[in-house]
Amino acid sequence: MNLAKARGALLTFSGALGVALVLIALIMLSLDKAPLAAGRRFLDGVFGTPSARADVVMAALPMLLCAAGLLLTFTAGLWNIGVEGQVTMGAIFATIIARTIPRDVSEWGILAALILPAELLLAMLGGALWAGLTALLKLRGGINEIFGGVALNFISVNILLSLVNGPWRVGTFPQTAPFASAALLPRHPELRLSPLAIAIALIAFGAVFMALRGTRFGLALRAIGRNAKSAGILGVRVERHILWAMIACGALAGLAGAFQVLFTRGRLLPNISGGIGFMGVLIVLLVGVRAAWVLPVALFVATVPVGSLKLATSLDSSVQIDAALGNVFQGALVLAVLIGGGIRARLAARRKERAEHG
Amino acid sequence: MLYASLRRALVVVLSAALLSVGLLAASPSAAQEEWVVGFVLVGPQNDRGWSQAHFEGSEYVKEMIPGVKTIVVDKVNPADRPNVTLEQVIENMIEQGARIIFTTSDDFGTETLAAAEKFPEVVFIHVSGSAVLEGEAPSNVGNVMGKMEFMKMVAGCAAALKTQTNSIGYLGPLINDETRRLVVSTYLGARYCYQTYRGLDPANLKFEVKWIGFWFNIPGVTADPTAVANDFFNGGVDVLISGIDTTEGSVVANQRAERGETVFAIPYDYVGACEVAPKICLGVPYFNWGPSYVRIVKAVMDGTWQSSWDWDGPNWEDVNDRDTSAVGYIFGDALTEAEKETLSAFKKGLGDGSINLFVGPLNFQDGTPFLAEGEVATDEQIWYMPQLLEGMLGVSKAD
Amino acid sequence: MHVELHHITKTFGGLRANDALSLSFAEGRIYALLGENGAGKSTLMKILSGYQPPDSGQILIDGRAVTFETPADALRCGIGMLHQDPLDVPNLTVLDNFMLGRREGLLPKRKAARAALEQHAARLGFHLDPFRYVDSLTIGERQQLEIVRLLSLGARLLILDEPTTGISAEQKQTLFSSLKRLAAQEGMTIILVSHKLEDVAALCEEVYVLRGGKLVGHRHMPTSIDELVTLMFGQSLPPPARRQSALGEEILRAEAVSLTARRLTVRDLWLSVRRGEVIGLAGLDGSGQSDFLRACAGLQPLNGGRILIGGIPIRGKGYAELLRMGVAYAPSGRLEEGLVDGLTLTEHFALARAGGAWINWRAMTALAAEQIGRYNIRGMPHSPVQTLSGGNQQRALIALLPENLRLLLLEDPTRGLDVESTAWVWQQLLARRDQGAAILFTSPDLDEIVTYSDRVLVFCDGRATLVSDLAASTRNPAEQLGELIGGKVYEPR
Repeated sequence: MNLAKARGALLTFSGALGVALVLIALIMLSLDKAPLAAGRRFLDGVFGTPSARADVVMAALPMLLCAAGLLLTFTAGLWNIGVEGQVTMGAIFATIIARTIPRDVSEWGILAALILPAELLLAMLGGALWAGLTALLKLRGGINEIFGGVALNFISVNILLSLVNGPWRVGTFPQTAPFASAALLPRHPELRLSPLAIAIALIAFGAVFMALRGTRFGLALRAIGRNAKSAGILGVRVERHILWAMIACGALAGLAGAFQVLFTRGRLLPNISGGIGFMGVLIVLLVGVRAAWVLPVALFVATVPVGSLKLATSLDSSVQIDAALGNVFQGALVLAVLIGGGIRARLAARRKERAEHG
Repeated sequence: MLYASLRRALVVVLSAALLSVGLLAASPSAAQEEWVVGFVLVGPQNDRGWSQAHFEGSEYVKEMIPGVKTIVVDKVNPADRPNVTLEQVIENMIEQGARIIFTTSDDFGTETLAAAEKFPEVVFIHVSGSAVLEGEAPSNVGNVMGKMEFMKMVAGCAAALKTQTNSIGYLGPLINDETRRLVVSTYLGARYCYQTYRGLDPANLKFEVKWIGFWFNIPGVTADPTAVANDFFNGGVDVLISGIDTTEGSVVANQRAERGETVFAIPYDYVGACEVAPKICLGVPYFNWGPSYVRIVKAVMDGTWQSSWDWDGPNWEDVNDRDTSAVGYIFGDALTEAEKETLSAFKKGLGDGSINLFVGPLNFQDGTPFLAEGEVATDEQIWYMPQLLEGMLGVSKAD
Repeated sequence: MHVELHHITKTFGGLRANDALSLSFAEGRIYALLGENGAGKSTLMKILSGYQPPDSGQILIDGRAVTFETPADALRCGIGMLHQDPLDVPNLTVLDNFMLGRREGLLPKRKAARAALEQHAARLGFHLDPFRYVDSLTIGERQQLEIVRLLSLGARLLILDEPTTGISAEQKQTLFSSLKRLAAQEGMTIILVSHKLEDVAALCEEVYVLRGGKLVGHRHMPTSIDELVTLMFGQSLPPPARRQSALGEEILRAEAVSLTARRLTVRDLWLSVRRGEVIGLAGLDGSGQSDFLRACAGLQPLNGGRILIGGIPIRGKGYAELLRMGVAYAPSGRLEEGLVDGLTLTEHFALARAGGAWINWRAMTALAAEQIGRYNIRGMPHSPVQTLSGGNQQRALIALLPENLRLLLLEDPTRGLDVESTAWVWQQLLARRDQGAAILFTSPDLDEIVTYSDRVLVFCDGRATLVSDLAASTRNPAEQLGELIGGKVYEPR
């Protein structure tokens, strides 16, 4: 992408951000809240302390993983809305091992070192399985991946609920017991931060980035996304690539699910995905499937829950806002970016036309 | 570069917003010498149920103890705040100077204990928990709960006085010791009044509980309480007692009453819950957390607080006394004067000990004995209620 | 109406499609715009008819400068263009199509429109049934409809882009005589865009020749064909020599194949093709030739029978697998099925060439540059394929075919190409044949089939008849083929 284009995109994004912020400010004013103080507190809260920064980074990771996987499927023209269910299945599969790990694994020796890799691999398998099922429904059953995905999302939620209400339930709540620390992603001694999780997510994102940029696989996905028929004539195994793009996305979403149970929550509970799959979709839509932008935008999106909590816990009631307002902000932002992109495209077309006629 | 640009854009836009509305920002004051108390609510603070009762408690603390500031964070659950954990909420409160934190939901138990280990200088009060009783809690954790059982007995009694179809429904949340003992108390109250005041055979009284799966409706996760309530009424129930934290039971009953059906409801938790549908309300058993909270905060402030498990009862002189009674029962508009008198008499009996409903012989639902002839249940026996009782319909265990 | 083009320049990426072109069209004259594929003819005519603006330059009508935002603007100024593929709406009637684009009130006046349609058709000597649906018309009839529509909307200058592709000789005759009458009697200006020199000779009075975006010649007819060819291509080319190469082992075998084509079902098709053979598939459009090609490529299922490639049945194998077995398929719809809109030439080569998981972009750019040179493609390695002209897209498609093929399946490989490009394409294909590939191709051009085929499979009425003695025929082979396609029973000698 050249510099002028990047600047244009940045301009659109900033403009959309401005619109979304003004909208939120107006809503807050109507509720007798102080938007400026809230903004300052939000920024202070999000960037001010190491622990808040750590929270932002950790909240961004699962979204980053989902967005990375979705880059693959969106590039191939596949609307993998089933990503949410793939996250859920990843969380469930990771739990299969995690819930059996005892508090004390000192006698496990070398086996203890295998716990995490096994959990993460199983989670990827779970997500991949679910995504592969969506792909098979599409390829063999002729069911559009959007509908298949929505159906499988629903099924995954019900599997999750039946597990945490049934055999996996510990105590009175529909949730498992907290996992033993040996089963969890290792945590920074002071901060709520897992360097290993960060490394895994960055490596996964980097791999997707490289795959799209420099591999035959990535190029084939682009060709399929633009014209599957032609791609087939050029020798691309279209069905196989669709299957693998979905499976890769599912595996990454499964990893995100594993992060949710093995770090964020430390146990399996209902609504474990917390909508991060959909957030991934929003991020990819926000950046228009441009891989390089996913990382900063994921971080930006992750500031919203952390910053909203900062506002909610503020002593100053004039900045305390409802949890829902954060979601309104995210929705408004996505909408504004999409509209902004449309306006920009139209302006560019008009400018070009004028230049040509003038 | 991107980060810087975004930040610059944010600043620019925020300044623009300020200029355009001409609003001056209130600068957040540093909380050095004040006592800051944090309250973590699981539901919305205006749910007219469990969470609002706690919110009122926090307001009462502010009102009664000068110099105390409160931070209330509501909707701390994975559905409303998907990317936020209790740990983060607690940490943020402590960052703001909180020295006492009330975590007001049973399922905050594990995380509360973990946070207490991490922040030994902060006092944590886990509402409705019993870790202290079980000796599992660090010394900076306390438990508190109201003796709602008595007020549930009154609710059961009101329902039994009113029902014409001899069928009472109970909208249950999830199944645990607490919810079982509350349903059991309600049943005992209903059975006693049905027999004693109406002179009818309790064997003919149908008392059923349906569990939705959580304290409030989470679409896709719990059963829909509105649908469950309608099921009850369709099945012949004419008094619906709510055990969940929100008011769907009253709303549904009110809708059906407006269509001409003779049905009634008894909400739960919050003193003002009858306002949702006053005409069909037989009253509300509610928590009045204020007195307990003030007692605890004051004790912590003057250094006399010690870890304890408190099960605070009503002030039998006046169960609705705002300053002393931990639980209460407000009569609803749908009660006749005669019924109110009967209920008052029943309440008086409970208060002076002349009526004790947890006395044997009582059997569990599966037929095994709970209390032998003449045996009086201990607090622990009631607290850890393992099953429903014989004569009640509905499941005892979740699986 | 006198139309002048002044220094029209248009670039696509780094490519100068039109380079400061200045042409002049006088009232009542018939012009030809000649040039090989990619010479810039279509670009110039799109500019003149308002489909795209020039980068610089001016259009003058009767000395007055005009700019067109849309084709409708151009039409309002009296300039109408007839496209190669008529831009009509197939599932509407002739009358409905005629009424499209007319400026009238909210309620269309069907009666008046019908009268106008019949009047304009009569003026041109066309016979159009107002109530037939357009998709039941031949290409020639659709052309006539479009011309009538343009005239009724006030066109004074008519641009015809390759109008004789796909129409019958009789229709061509009618068209040409109407055009001549329009010019002579009504003072219409006609521009024929074509690479068919015989059409130019038959119709036009003046010829403009473009090459590489530049105007290289302006001649009054008659001018010798040789001179025009030299102007078009720089030098005249001899037609490719027909060569017989040694036949190898059997590569393709069809046994009792039955398949569904667009119009009918083809039954009981038998064929055996050996390496080094060229088989032409002839037939009216939609008789099953294209479908058989696709079936051989594993892209279309059979109703019955089986197809073997090198002795291996292809049932259940996808195209990618067959490609690995040395079978390649090149469809005629380039951007629809063959090239990927939005990808560059380099990216196409990277896709089409086998290799490891990682793409060496530098090597691929070099390969693309080399192939661009070798196949004489007008474009850059980084040019997105949709910016190439039709002929260059076709060259790219052929350049993309893998090396070491055993069987080449080509759907109308020279569609829309000029003489030189056609000869060049066949030179490439015959070189493949000489390396041991068998070729199956379809073409609507019987001369092309006769010229290049060793044997011809004629599709007619659901039967496929193999004609193996075309070369030995004493009669005009194309004429004989035409009869077979038309339904005459084949009697082998």
